[in-house]
Amino acid sequence: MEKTWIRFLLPEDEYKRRTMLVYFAEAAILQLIAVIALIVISRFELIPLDGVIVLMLMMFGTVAYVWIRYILSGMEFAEIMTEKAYRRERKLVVVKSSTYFLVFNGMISLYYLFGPMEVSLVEGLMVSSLGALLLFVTNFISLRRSYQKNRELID
Amino acid sequence: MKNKVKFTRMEQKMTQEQLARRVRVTRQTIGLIEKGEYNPTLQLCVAIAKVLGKTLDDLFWEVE
Repeated sequence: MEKTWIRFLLPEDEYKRRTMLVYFAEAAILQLIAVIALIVISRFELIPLDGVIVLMLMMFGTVAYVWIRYILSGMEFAEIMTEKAYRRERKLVVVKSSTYFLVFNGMISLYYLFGPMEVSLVEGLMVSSLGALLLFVTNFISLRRSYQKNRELID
Repeated sequence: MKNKVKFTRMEQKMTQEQLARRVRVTRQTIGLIEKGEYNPTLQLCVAIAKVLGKTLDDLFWEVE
């Protein structure tokens, strides 16, 4: 195991761990480039910038970059080698997304029943439904990519 | 990197899954090593060699 304080973020498997370190490094370099571009933009006042929004975009962008690279790498479902295992895992993905959808929509509806909320019920339900859809799509793509990759490596 | 991990493993009638479990990596990692698509650390090479009862030379040394 590499001697680094981000050890808690790294997977146990060696290949996954080293690949994740590469993704983190790529994200850090992209973040550095974005900071340099933002300094130039703000110094010459090319575009009016809102500090909080810019920082949130950078944070979201960094997390999204690592997340997308991880999903497309096909290493999340490293043990899915057979058609049977793939079908079983696909069912689990559907169950997980459906559970997320039901639990969050239920919680939002309950909150709405017990007191006024700053956002409307429809907006709340749309956000949680989008979350469930995102969870399903990303898990499905990751599973598909993992299965395709693993099939080429089987005995 | 070309290696003889797959050949040696099959010779010993061991599955990818069994080898993976014994060296504490995923089956995908073993598959990638066997195909030469991932270069393992020296630590993992030694672990694989020990499980298969071979030396590093036997498994990873390329001979023309």
